[in-house]
Order: sequence, then structure tokens, then C-alpha cells
Amino acid sequence: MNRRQLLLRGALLAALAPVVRASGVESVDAAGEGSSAPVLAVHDPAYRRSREFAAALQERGARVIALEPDVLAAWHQVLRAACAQSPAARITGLTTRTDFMVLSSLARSAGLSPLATRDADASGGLGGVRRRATLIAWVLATRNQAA
Amino acid sequence: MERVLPPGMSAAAFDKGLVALRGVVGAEWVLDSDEDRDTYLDPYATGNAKAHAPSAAVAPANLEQVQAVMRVANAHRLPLWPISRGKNFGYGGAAPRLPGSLVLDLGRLNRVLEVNEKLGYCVIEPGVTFYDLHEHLTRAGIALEFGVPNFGWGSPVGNALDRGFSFRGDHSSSICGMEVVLPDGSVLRTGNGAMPGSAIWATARHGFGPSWDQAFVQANYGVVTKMGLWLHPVPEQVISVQVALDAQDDLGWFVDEVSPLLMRGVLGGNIAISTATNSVIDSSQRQEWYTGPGALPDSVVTRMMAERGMGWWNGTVRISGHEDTNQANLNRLLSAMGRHTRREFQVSRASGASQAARGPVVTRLKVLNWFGGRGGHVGFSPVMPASGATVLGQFRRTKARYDEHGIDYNGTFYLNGRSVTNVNLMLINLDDADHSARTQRLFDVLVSDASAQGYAEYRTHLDYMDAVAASFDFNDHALRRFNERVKDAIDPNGILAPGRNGIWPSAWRNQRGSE
Repeated sequence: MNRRQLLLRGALLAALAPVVRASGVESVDAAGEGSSAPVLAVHDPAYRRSREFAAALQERGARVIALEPDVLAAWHQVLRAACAQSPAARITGLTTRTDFMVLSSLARSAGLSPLATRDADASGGLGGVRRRATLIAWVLATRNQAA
Repeated sequence: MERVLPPGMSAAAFDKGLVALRGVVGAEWVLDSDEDRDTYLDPYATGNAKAHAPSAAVAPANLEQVQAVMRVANAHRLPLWPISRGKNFGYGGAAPRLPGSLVLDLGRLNRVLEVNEKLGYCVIEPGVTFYDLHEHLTRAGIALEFGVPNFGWGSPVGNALDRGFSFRGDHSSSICGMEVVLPDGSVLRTGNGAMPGSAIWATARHGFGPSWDQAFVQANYGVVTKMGLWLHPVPEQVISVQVALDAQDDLGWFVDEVSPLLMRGVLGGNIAISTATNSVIDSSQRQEWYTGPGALPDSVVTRMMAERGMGWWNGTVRISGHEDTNQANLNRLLSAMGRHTRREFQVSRASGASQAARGPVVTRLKVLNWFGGRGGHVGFSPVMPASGATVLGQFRRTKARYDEHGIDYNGTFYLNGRSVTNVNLMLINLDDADHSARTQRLFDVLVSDASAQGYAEYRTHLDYMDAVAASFDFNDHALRRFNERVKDAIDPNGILAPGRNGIWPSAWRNQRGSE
């Protein structure tokens, strides 16, 4: 990892600190491999910031899963089984709102609900025009965790 | 969202009903928290989301529980709104027409009961998703497939019951036999299913006497708990022809040339032809193309065409079947189009098995990122005769209305042979109240315009069900009066989906036209 990536990931995690905390990724780090509450960090390969966010969480012990070929396939082929295997698993990501909507709807069948969300990518404007949020950071967790 | 009760119902009366429902399905399957209600709202509501807010949801696990839920609903006068998976976004999603209705969530009835490869059908429950069916067929190595719509995460049963379609055509035409729970809780089997042990329930459409399958489509006469659906044998080969037409007027000759090929069986299913914008909105954001006022100007569309190598109209004509006949059919298509354009069309060939293995996706939902922020969509979808001049006229009128309201035009024409379904996608910027309001006004105008031409929508959003139903007004609304006489006869308490597709039971008829 180069210095630029290091800075980018650090800034991303700082900006999305509430979501990172809610993901429980730091406790996974502390618990080490084999934690009973794994964190699955999903990313949309089309967005660099999404990839970087997942990579930063991977460094803290999360398992990274790409939403490929799309969010529907990722749920059915990987995430659903992972949630069945580890019912306390949390899923987090920095994705488009659409993918979050689809995933949160699908994950509901596994008893997962949104625990935290935060708009991202809304900073940085050009020529005084504030860019609109295009991505959202989020955590899905079992309902008792969310309560 | 806070609880919204059915009009005129007291909280005490409603709560009594919930207690009875918990006794049927178990407390955990009566979903009445604020968060539960939120999941059944229309996520793309342009107006007041409360207008279609559910009071709660109930999720039975099997036929007997569905029957018991209907009886409780009658006893307590609880209006129910059945959904299969509730994914018909753009038309209201899982939200009910009548505020305060209880969503009857059939997602737990999710069994693939039978697949017959030789005879090409399946019998499934409403909670089975397109993906579930695909997985089932793929894992079992069954060489059958079912058409999947653009937003492929819903239910084949729910989609067929709403006359959804894919490149395979109208999914309601694949229905063959149903098990239905009537509003009084009794069970009916349609077609040959009325004969106990019938061997042809899902293979031969008509039993003896009237055929009732289609009476449960886009209606509120019963809850479908099983459905026979005809599946398509995976073809030997699929030829895909990428069609790009440079001028707006090219739509006319395309309709006139391709429709006869559909009628003669040279081409199958339906053929979709869309504006260039339609290919751009799911892979980029508006601000990358245009930040000025009003709708996207034609000059921007021209730039999209140049940068992406597209025509004004674009589509994929799919020719599927045996290799030898495919080639002959391809020749006929190219010859027909060659009479009007010298453009070379890209032709690719693949095995049918490789196409079928792809499975459903929801990538098309990325259109909702067009504005950034919170995006939504509604569809205005009138049906017209398959005549080039007619279709071109519809396109020009509709685009002019979009421009007038400052809304980006995205149109697709689905050629069905004798008719053409024009799906006009309206992407909504839900963070911009003015944009949402203009979209609503545009929709109102389009309904009036289409009605004046004698075209009605094949399907519509909850907000417009009454308006569209009202446009079928021959002989002083004879059809609506008939629909409602049937409704009152089989659902005297009006508990099942009041207002669906403009059919109001007497108990709730005063709600017609309500927001």
C-alpha cells in the first residue's frame, strides 16, 4: 500500500467513524481470527472509495466480498450462507443507496436490520457547488444487536 | 413510520384484530413496529407516503394460516393487502392502496412444489423469487427457464399476477392453474385443478366451463397460494442482434417491419427498443452530462450517442431456437431492416445454456443513482396498436410533455406483435420537492393524453389506479360496475385489497379517488 492509499483509507475511516464503530470491526480485530461475530465488508468494484473502505476494514479483520456480478448474486451466492453460518455476523459497506436498499431488504430474511447509516461522498464540491451524496456507509446487524 | 389505522377504525378494534392474528401465525409474524411498517412503504413515493402506509403486516406460513387470516380479517373488518415479495417498485412496491391496510406478506410460502422438465412447467408458491427458481433449475440441471424482468428480485407469481413481462413476453400468459384462497377463507383450484388428482392442472389451461385464472390477475378476488407456470425449454442457440437506429423517426419503420415478424413467429417474445438515455442512466450520473435547467436537451443526447456509439433508439433483438432456423430468421430480420438503413448491426451467437446460466440480476436498479442522493422511479406504460405512425405519434407527444415539464425523457417501446407497450420511465429526484411535483403533474397529463388517444396503461402505480380504471368507462363504467358486483358478492366485508386496480368493495367505495 502506498502513502496515498494509507491517507485515503485513514481519512475514510475517520469520516465514517460511527459506521466503523457500529460494524464492530475493531472488536473483531481485538478478538482475533475465529471471533464469533465476523464482519463482512462488501464493496462495489465500480467505486474506488467503496473498494478502499472495504480494504481498510479488511486490514482490521473483516472479510471482504465484492458485489459481483451484482448485489443480488452476492447475497444468494455468498452473504446468505455466511449469515446462516454465523448468525451474529454483521455486514457493512460503502455502496450506492440502491445496493444498500436491495441488500437490507434481502438481509431482512436473515434477521438483519440497519444498525447505522451515514451519507458519504458528499464532501468536496467543485466551483462552490456541493456534490450530492452518491454513496452511503451502513451496517446491518441482527435485530437484538440493533436494539 | 407511526401506525396509520384503516379509515374509521378505532385503535382498540384494530388491536383486537392483531391479537387474533397473533393467535393464528404466532406473535413474531405479526409485524407492527415502526421499522416493520417502514419496510412495506413505497420507497419511491413522490407525494405523501402516508397515503399508502400500512398499519402492520402479517406473514402466514402456509395455506391453512392464510385461510385463518382471512377469517380473522372478516371477523374484525381488517383490510388486507396481499404481496408476494412486494418488489413491483415503480408501481407502489409493497404498499397498500388503502392506508391502514395490513400487508399480507406471502414471503414465507416459498416452496418450489414441482418442476416437470418434459412438459415444461413448474408449480410454485408466491414467496418463491426469480432467483430461487433459477437456483432450483440450475442445481437440478433442468434445461428450462423463465423470463426475468429488468428488476429481477421479485416473485414470478407476483409478477405474473401483475402482468409483468420480460423479453419472453407477458408473464400472465404463462399461468396455468392456481390455488386461491377466497375472501371468506375457502379454497378454490382453477382449471383442471378443480378435479382432485388432476394430471393436467399445470399443462392444460382450461378445465370444464369458464376459465378463471385471468380473473385473479390485477384483481382483488382471492389470494393465490400456488400457481402453475409454463417454463421455456432452454434453446439450442441464441442470436443477439444489437440494433441502433440513428434518427427519432426510425422508430416508425422499425415497428412496421418487426411487428409482422413477431406475428409470423419469425421472432418470439417481445422486442424492446429504447432511447439512448436509457442505456446511459444506469451507468453514469446526470451531472456528468448536464447541469443546466430543464430536461436533458437533444444536443446532450446526441453527445451521449457519439460517446457511447449508440443510436437514438437502441435494443437487442433476440432470436432463439435451433441453429438452422435461427439463421433463416436472422436473415429475414436483417433483410427487413436493410430496406431502411445501411447500418451494420452487431450480431453475436451464444448457446442457450450459457444465456440461461446467467440468472436474475438487479443491475438495472442503478438507474436510481442518476441524480445522486435519493432516487426513485415510476413508470407510465400505455399500450397501443403496432403501427409505426401510431407509435411515432405517441413518442412525439410524450417527449414533448416531458420537455414541457423539465423531466428527462426515457422511453422504451416493447413490440408484442399486434400491440406495443410503451414504458416511460420517470426517474425522480426525491431530494428535490419541485422535481417530484413536476413528475406527478407530468404523469397526470400523460394519463389524460393517452386516454384521449384511446390507450390505457397495462399496469399503474397505486396513485393512479382509480384514474386509469375510470378511463375504461364504456356504457357508464359497465366494466367497473361488473367488477365491483363480483367483488361485493365474494367479499361482502371488503377485506381483500380494497381499491386494487380501481376495484372498490361497497364497504370502502367512498375511498375511491382518495389520496
